[in-house]
Amino acid sequence: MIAIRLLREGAVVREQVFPALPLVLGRGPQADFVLADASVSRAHAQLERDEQGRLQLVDLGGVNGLHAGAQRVKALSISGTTRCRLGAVELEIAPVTDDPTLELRSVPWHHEEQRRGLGHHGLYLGLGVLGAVASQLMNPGLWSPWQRSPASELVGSVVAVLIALPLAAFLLFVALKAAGRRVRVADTLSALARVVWLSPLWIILTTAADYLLPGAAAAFASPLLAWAATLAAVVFLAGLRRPDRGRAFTLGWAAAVTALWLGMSLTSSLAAQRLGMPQNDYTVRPPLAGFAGVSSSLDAYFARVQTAAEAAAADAEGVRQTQDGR
Amino acid sequence: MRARVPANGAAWLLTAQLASGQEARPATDRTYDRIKHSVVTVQVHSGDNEAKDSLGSGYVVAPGRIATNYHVVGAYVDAPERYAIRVRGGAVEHPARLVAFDLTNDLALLGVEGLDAPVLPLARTLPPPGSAIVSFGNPQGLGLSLIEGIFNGFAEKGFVDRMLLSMPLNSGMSGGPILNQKGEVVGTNVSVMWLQNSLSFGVPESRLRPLLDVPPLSLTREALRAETHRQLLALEQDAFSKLVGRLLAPERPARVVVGGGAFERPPELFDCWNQTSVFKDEGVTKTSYGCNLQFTPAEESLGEVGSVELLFEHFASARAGRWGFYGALSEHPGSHHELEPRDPKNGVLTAPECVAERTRAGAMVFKVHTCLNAFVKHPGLYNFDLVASSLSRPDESVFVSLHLRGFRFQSFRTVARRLLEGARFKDAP
Repeated sequence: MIAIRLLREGAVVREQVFPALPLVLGRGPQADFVLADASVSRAHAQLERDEQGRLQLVDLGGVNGLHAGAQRVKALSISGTTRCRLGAVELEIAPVTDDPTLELRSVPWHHEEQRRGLGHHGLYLGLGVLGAVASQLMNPGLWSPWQRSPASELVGSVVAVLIALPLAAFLLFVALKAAGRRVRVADTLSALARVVWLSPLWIILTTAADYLLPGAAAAFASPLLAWAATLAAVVFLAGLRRPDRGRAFTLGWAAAVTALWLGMSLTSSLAAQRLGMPQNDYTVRPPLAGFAGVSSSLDAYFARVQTAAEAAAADAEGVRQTQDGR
Repeated sequence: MRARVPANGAAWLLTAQLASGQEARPATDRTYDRIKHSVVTVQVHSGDNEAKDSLGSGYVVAPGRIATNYHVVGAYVDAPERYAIRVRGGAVEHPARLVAFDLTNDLALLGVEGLDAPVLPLARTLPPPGSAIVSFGNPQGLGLSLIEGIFNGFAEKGFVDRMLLSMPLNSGMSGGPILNQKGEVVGTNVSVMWLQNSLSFGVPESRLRPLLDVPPLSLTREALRAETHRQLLALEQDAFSKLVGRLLAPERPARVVVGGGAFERPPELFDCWNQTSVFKDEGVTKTSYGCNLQFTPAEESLGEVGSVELLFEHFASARAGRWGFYGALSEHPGSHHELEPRDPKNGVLTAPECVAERTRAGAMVFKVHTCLNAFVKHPGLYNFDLVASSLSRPDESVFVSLHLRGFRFQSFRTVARRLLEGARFKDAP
């Protein structure tokens, strides 16, 4: 027996079990499994057995095609539970036994679009506040002996999140609504609350990188991790409640974030250059269980300083020539 | 407590820049009449402009030769195409040309045609400390003035020899002569004590004599720059050998204990101070030992060169957790005023280049930051700023900072290595 399940946001919303093959899937009334969606052709695909008797789903020439993951395919062999997409409709196809043990997933598909109570909103807000508190707690400045009132520092960040998070959630909600997504404020709020947790995660990763990498590499790791975190957050938020998140969508956003990121770092490095400001990271991390972190020898350090001195000398030469030319 | 002398100004140069309003009292004795024709005003003008850019004093040291300070004519040395030097004696003004200069001792020699004035004789020896002396000059261009004072011998700190004088020299008297009782030149006015003018400094006449014998300089921009460069390199060599030579000398007590830290003891030519601050509420004790040089030469547009500043510190925390303790230390090097960014657009120094890394020195691990700027006009010379915090113990840390002005990379490396390898905890084996 073959089970065909219609999915929505990954959750099963309809299932039909068929005893025999072949089966036609499509929008037309003659189809065995009818999909009422404009992106699906009347007879879109056929489920059949090939010469070797293996189960396969064949594209019957539907305009919007048959997709396995992000790839468009002519035919897809089904082994075990297999997911695919006809046009914009997600399906799961699985050979099933007679055992009546299959249970539909208990998550109701309409849950995400349901109006949620104040309690849920409070829960999401709390999640965001916890994330902010977690990253505050990891900030060495909070534990500095010169920090007179760590408690008020914490309260301050809690208040900031309580104000900023709902505001940001509302703005994101407006933006997504304008883009035609079926989204509620609860969705954007819970998504942003999860994004807040990238901050403590980022602190943990950069701290680990600082201990475990030599100085030059650690200096690279920190902006790289920041870039990755931004990328993850933006792609996640932009794809909120979007039914088909294909490779092109993800790559497009990744490219946009990367371009913006490069532009910003270029601007800030140019600004720093104009101000003559060395971008120094003075962070001094304590030894952990006697381990002060990966370190270089004095020789290696001075070799790097020498390289810097040579760069400065080349710079001086350029300025000198400009001055003498005037 | 001993007042800390600012790093870049142990002494205040006497070129007239600000009106201080104090006039020296007029002398009435014979010395005044005898000397007055030999003391002149030295002015540096830019282009056709009649207004002065810089004003100092000078005196006739040989026929047609005027002695003054380098810093009086420094602007000219830096850009001879933009400036002209003039000498004014009585009511008559003469054009003057630069003959020689000595950046290290802050002296310059000018040549003047047609100046009919008696030569002031140079004394063969310095008077004994405690002797009365008189100094001449033209403060603010107001008129020839004489100031009486006492010669106290030499100032004990610094790379260059400075006569220590009890007298209130004024702006614009730079380059004027210091005379003994017999009316012979024993030195040249150069500067006053920072922020107070009851103590002044002079350059002994023995530093002037060699200038009288050097062949006249070519006055092109390239030639003057090359001469400045040559003198800066010689100064760097001298400063480096004094610094490192003494650091390496085996007979000295090699270490200085600062709180719970032990460091290389700096040579005696430094002016050092010691300070312990206990932050009771925070449970942190900070002990500092800082040193700088009282007297370093000043080059026009570069400021103080050959200057060295050292700072050794020890931090101990009684209560703070390691995370908080090191969190506080992170704020420390950044707050260090010497690591302030420099404007690269001044055309004197390049934009800073910085290198930060955890580095092993001996048994210790330090987070070391170095920023450097190259001198635009003097290849091979740099300003270096280094700060290093040890990362070896959870509740105490030693801190080393080193600031060098106008040094070569090799010199920096040798000194910095010495200081980092020499820094440790007092109780370390």
